Amino acid sequence: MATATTVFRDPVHDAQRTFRCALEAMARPATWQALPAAPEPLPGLGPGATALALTLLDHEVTAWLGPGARAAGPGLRFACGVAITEAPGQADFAFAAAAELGDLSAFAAGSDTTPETSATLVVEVDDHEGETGLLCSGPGLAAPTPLRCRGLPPAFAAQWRRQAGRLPCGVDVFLLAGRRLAALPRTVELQEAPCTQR
Amino acid sequence: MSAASPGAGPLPGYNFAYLDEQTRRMIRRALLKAVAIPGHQVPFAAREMPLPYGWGTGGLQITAALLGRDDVLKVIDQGADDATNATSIRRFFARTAGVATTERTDAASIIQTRHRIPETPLRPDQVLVYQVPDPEPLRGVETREAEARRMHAAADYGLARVALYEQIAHYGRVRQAYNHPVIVNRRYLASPSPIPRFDNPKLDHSPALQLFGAGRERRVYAIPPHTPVHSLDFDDVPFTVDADDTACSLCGATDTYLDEIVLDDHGTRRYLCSDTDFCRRNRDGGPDHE
Repeated sequence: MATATTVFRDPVHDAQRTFRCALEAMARPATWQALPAAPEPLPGLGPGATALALTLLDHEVTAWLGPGARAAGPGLRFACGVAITEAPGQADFAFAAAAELGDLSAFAAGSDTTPETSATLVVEVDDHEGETGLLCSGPGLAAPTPLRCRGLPPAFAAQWRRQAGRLPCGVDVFLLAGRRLAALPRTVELQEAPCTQR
Repeated sequence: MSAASPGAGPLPGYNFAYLDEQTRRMIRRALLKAVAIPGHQVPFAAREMPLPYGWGTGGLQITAALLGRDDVLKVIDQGADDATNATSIRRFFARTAGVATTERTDAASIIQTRHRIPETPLRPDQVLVYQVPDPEPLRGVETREAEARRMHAAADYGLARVALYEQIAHYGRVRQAYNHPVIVNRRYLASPSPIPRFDNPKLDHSPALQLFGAGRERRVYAIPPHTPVHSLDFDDVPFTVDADDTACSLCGATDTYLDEIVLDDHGTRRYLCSDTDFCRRNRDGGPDHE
């Protein structure tokens, strides 16, 4: 059986532009960015998640794939040389649909001396529009910013707040919706937005 | 002078911006974690660069990982665009990446700096890359790396405060004119790289992303935009910058960081803006004047 795999059309420059977009997203949390390059998506991954994978994964890191993203395994292994693990706690990167993510505490949070060894989660949501009722604040944000997206599990905010108690340990999250990308670094504080009129 | 000199296309035989793709991925992963943990030093596998350690190899590698074809690069050394270090690094990327370069702060998308923050306020679409000789702010009070890391893990910065206290007790004021340590996002003690104390306030809530690279020490760290950066001080002895009314002898500015030039054996001195681009544009009719 042939392995479905993918490449960037312009590998050096598409990876560079994708990285700058990811860096901008991480530096300005909850702010949706449009990814500049969309490779042919791998089975089980969206175009944005595929672009991030091609940009950040190689033989030095390990990835965990959620149930719906498993089909991307052979293609990722071939395109990036990344090791795939069954254990979420051992992954540097995790790819999953928001509904299949499970509890955030299953992923590596790093240690107090090496918090940078925590996992980066690449989470596919349904849309980059839509009210979550959550307000983000923290480094990168001049003022509290509403988190806009659709499809984040209801338990996410509570799990996120639990991880805040372990700072500087904790996972960092990229939210993907098609070719759109936003990030929630661990330092983001999620608060329920004050009720607006219904 | 035009705002930017166009690049000539990358050097044949090398990857774009010199570093290979695997190295750039490794640095990019480290940078993303650095931004996610403001002020925390993230180890990275610094490569040997065609420049000795101590000449900005950390900043050079960050810039190489960031740089794209559309970027406009500015490089300063103590505020000056025309110093040897700045000229070499600018030419290095003009040759290996073929990117446009500029001396104008407002025309640059990436500014690599050694020991200064430009006087011209930065914008959100700009990235400031610092060359850092010693990224460990605790090195002066704790030589053991493992112990320094434990102190960072526990946010145990008492010794750094004692060092500052001793300066005040002995000399009546903080004598450290540069490299005054800062607390980033109310958590990590970080080295501002040896920028003068004068520049420390510009670190606080900067609209631009600030990335720090130490090649020899193999560390990167970051200050995201709009992040509180507090210069280490005491409630009763707050942080202050040294300021007087001395004016730049070229442009007349009184609110910039000045270099002191000794002119003769009798101690005659002149003072000039350290930021050459700001000074030149000030003389041309104001920084916003074209």
